[in-house]
Amino acid sequence: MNMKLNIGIKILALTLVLIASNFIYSLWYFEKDLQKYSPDINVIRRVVSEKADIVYCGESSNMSTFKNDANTLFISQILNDLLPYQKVVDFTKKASHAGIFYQLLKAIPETNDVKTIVVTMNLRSFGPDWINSNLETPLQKDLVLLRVLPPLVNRFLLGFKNYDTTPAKQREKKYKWHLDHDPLNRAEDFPYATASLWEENIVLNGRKNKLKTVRIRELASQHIKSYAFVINTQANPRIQDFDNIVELARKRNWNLVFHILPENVERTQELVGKELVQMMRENKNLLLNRYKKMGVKMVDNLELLPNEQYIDQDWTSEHYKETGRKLVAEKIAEVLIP
Amino acid sequence: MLFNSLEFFFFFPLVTLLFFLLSHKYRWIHLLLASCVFYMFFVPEYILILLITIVIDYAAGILIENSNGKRKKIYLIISIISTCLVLFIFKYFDFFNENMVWLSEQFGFYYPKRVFDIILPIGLSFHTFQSLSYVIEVYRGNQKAEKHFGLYSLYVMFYPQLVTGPIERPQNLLHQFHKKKVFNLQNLIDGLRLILFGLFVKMVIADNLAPFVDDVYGNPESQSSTTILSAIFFYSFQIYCDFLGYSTIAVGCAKAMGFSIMDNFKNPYLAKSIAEFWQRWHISLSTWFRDYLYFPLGGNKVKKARWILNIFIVFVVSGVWHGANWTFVIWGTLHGLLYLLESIPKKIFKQKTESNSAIYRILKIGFTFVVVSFVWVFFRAENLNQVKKIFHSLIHNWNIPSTFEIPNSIWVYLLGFVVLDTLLFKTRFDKWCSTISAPMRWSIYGILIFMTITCSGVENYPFIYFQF
Repeated sequence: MNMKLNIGIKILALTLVLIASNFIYSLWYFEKDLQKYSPDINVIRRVVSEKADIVYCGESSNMSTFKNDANTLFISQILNDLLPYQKVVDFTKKASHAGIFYQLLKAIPETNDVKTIVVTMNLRSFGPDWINSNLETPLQKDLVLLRVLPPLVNRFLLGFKNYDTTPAKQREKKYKWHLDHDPLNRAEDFPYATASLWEENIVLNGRKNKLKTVRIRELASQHIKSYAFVINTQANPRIQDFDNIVELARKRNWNLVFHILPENVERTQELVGKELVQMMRENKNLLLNRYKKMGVKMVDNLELLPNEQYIDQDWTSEHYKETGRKLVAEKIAEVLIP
Repeated sequence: MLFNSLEFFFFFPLVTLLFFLLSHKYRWIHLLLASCVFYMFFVPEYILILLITIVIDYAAGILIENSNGKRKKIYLIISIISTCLVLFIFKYFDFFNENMVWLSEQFGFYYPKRVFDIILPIGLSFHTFQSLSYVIEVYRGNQKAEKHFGLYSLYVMFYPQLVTGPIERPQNLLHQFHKKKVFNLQNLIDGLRLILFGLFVKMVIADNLAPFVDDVYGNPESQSSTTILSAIFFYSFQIYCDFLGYSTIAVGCAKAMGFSIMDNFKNPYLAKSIAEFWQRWHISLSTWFRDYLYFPLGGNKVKKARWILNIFIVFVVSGVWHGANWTFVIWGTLHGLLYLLESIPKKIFKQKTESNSAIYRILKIGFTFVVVSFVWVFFRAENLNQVKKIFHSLIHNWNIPSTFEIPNSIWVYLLGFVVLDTLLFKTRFDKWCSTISAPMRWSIYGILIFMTITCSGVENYPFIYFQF
């Protein structure tokens, strides 16, 4: 047989196998895989079925409560109560960030009732700690089946690991590299050029700075690792993610609200000092200015809550007690009430 | 680059197509560049380590060929030491230090703690051994020194077998780069068949067993004895399918371009003894040790006591080759002991006749599989403490109810694989496909393609042998 014809027949046979596979997979297996590997599909479906007016995108700040809380409603649920004529549906996923929210928002079908998107802006999510987190792999993996492609192609991409699979050791190295090399751009009299040097000083000389116990010094060091960075708008992947959300909202005609989450600034001031608080404020101002210019409604809650409203006293987090959650929701509601 | 990645899905057809489009004169450059790209997908800067090994052994090959007597031997020794030194620094330095620190604490001498803590260059042990086999063969006069630096580099770096072998010999591979390859449709088809089969066993069998095995090994104390037992046997299949998958894809990629590289496996779990297991498992490594360690030590043409020592050395070194951890040393040692336990009576009593009944053979296959599976525990465990926990739970947790639910699909995949592996006894998937009718063949392609796409494990489990 002519070789070209032979190859042609084989390619045709292979195409038929793939078409049949896609048909069988879509019909019998895809839904099961969606539920198993991308349960976020259910939230996307809720947005449509419950005719959501507002989609609230949050991370663990929208899933944490304190043991003594009388009211255990999350921020998005309080917001829903504060806006009785609007339906709030939330995308809440531990450790997620704007990159994940963007993918989820993109997966909302074109026909929907959504008017407003509220996205949490977690200052720590711009830092090297979060950017190089090991949780990135499972977060990215959960999104693969939600891509707008034929089901068999999506499953192929999932099986062939078409998501960020950077090994933990490499991530750790990258994170350390950033701590060691990213300049802090402080005034000339500030003694530490990088977060590593600053953190090292806290660990070694913390006692002189009244940080008596090892635990307290470790906490101070954690604050430095979490907040001592300068957002580079050209290189920071999170900026790109928020920019993508702005672009998507424009295309879909959604109102957009970014709300900067409260951080325990009081504790940062106490443990590390005013320089670090100043850095946090500078980063916040950069975000406020950048996105206000793009027409996004910005809610600045960075310094909204006092230390006692934070559930976790041993590490940096955005987990608030009931009064804290209520205050946050009220501030967001202020920009949403017509 | 991983074989089971999207990048490779584009890389392979592109490299193969360009290979045949280019004239023979430029093909080595193309393959060498492609191999560099393939390797640099992991940690790019590590290509420099590879380059060091290549330069050392390329120069050593020429120097050895051009010299005689003592000088020739000196060049060989320098080459072996330098190549092994690279391996030692990157793979064994931390292990050596940890043990020296422990010894210094036990015997009270001063030893400063140094930690290198770097990511091990992928496949370092494989290309080191491939490089060593070249200089040794040149020294023995079985291979002419390669004058063409590019072709020699390609011998070490040929992308299909660069990362986890098969560890090729220069006599088998090097001359193939000199010969002009003409496009052959059957080679391409055979190559694609092997790639499909390799992807299937890695992605459907190995990657679906891996999470279960990981969970059990991660927390053995709370597992029931039956769960532990399942995990032990599942790991046997996981590691086999993982490595068989890689080796088969490697052979397939080379075959598509007309290159022939050796098979690494011949149904190892159908072996009737430990000795036979090693003739069927990781063949390129076991023959490497046979040719370059066992025979130079005297092989079996020595006194019994020396022969026992030779066997023992080979297996211990094989364990060390796998990893810088006492678990690997013990794994190798146990295989050595089992090999000797099996061989010494035969050697002493000159026992030649054995029952040839089917039941006896099946029992021997089963027994060998069980023994090999239990020894795999040392290979899989991260440390000796974990080994202890596994065996402790296996012995004591018969009363704990099993909390693990193994999906039925896993049993189906395993059964399917066992049937397929048995069907492929004394043959290979590509050859077997040629013996069956077209409708049957295409049905098998369809099933394998469908299963590889839709039933593959979704967690990222790099090939196990990458760490070596």
